[in-house]
Amino acid sequence: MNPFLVVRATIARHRWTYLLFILLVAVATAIGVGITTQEAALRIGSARAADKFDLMVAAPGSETDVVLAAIYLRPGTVPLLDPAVVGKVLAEPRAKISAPLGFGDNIRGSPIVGTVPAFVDYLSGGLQEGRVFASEGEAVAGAAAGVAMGEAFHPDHGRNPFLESGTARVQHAATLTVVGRMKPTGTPWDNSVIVPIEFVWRVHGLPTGHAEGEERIGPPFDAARVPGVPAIVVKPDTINAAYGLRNLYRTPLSMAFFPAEALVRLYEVLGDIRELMSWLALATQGLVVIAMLAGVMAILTLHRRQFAVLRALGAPRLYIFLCVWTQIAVIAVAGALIGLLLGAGAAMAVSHMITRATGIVLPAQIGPDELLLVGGMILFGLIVATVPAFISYRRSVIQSLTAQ
Amino acid sequence: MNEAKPGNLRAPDLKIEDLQVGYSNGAGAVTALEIEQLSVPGGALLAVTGPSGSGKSTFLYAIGGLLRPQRGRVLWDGHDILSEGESARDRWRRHTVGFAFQDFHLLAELTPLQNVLLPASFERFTADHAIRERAVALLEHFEVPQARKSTASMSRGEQQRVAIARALLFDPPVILADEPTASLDARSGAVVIDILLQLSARDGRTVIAISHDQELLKRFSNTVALDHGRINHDQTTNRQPQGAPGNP
Repeated sequence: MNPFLVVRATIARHRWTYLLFILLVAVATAIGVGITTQEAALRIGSARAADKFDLMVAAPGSETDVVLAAIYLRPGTVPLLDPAVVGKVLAEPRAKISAPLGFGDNIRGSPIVGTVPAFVDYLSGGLQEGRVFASEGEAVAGAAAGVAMGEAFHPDHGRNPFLESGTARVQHAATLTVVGRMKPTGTPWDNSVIVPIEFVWRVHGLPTGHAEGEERIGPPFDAARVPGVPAIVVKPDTINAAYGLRNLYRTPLSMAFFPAEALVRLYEVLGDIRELMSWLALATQGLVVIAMLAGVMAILTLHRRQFAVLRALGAPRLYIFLCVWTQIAVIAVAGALIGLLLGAGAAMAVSHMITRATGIVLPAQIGPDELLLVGGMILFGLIVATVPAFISYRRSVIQSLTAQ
Repeated sequence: MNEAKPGNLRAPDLKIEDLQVGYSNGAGAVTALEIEQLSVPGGALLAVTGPSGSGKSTFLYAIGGLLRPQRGRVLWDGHDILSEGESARDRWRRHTVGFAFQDFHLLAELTPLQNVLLPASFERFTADHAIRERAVALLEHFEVPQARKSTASMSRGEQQRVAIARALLFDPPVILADEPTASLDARSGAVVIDILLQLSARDGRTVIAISHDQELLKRFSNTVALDHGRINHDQTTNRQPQGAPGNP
């Protein structure tokens, strides 16, 4: 048996209607695929961005605010950690790296972040050109930051003049020279310009962590001469040290937390949202399949007589069943596959936009979840298709032939 | 086509015994057809006529094995087709009966050849070479232009010829036609009547056609008139003794 001649003729006759059905199924599938792909991408991308931030010590307050400011470099006010605690953390013997972070300036929209040289190496896993800063007037550019190697510039005061409209542009008198560029990290830090923390402290009129007149940058710092900072990133030398330090700095004056844990809490919310949206997408898919089915049934009523004629010409009932079933199967399979491509494309486009806006690389990829979803959609379509197929199979030939 | 080998097919004899077909129309059961006795010998040329609602179509579908009667038998060579199961009747119909309709019922989106080959797709996934050649030969014989992409653009006379070619694909010994000339102009109608006569006289097929067409009724040797589902013997004619319908 070969129902394709009849299927082809029917689809050709109602090609716009069938195209609409296929598009409906495709859009419904794309929504589901897009949501799961995007949520996974968001999770993987944001987790990767937080990879190098093992333990954060900051002033008591919102962990999320600190994560947003320090890891994702979002503008926002974070209270400063007490200088006494800063001095202690920077001198912490169980930390491989103890990196104070200082924000507040920008160059052409790229945030300028002050820290210690070791953190630059750790963050980028080596530079793609030049070297790490060795003195206060030197800077290392992120892979995508809009400054050139060797360029000298005066930083602008303020986090981001493009975001804080209405504020007058204030330039610092001090000069920075770009001496190196980081490898791409797929994080918001790709857009940053990293400078010695001492530079940030000095241009803001704060003590520089070293004795008066000392030009050296980086640790060790003079605990008596460090100002408050919004956050310190600590890379503990062991797992034990990690938990030990976290407990040690959970005091009324400071909080210490693993960003990964804070993210997990965010992901739970994100997961809940995804679950809700997935159910909505699933409901949409179900509705679309039912709508398509109603449409196909209406078309089949038009073809009732034609099927009866086929029976008169000797077609077995199974042939009629297959004609109807195949038509719906074509819609379901074509729609689901196009939907998979549309959904993946949409997720990639959204990822690209988010990457451009935040610097976080979001790997939108089709995984087992999405294939399962598309497979489920196809299977659902194939099963549901048996209903009109069976109705046509059972329909009386004589009634259809004599119906006017 | 079987080029001019008169009577090379052994068409089965048709015998109807005590047939009653009814349906319910909401208000109650209505008898659509009630035939006590009718014999049509193999190879006969028979027209069935009567006013609309007289049961002509029901008669055609009953002898084509498309419905289940309340009672009675439709015997083709003594074989009661209406008592068979659905798939056995489908198979029997495919190889024994060729149907032609007033509105042709071609698939407009397919080529003439694809339309003729359609019944082959009921059995196999692809039509074999012999059946394909037969389809081409049928279209040639009926002078149907085969270059057409779709049958939609063909004249009605050409479309009916394609439909008859489709009915003949499996070389069935019986042709059942439902108003085959009613939607054709006189000239195309005459061609179709010629073809039907040829199928009977030259090939030895039984041809039974429902018709109101006076041209067709004039040229068919026998006529059965139906009225309210019963045979109206006053108007039933029998011009050739060998194709005698009626009560034996």
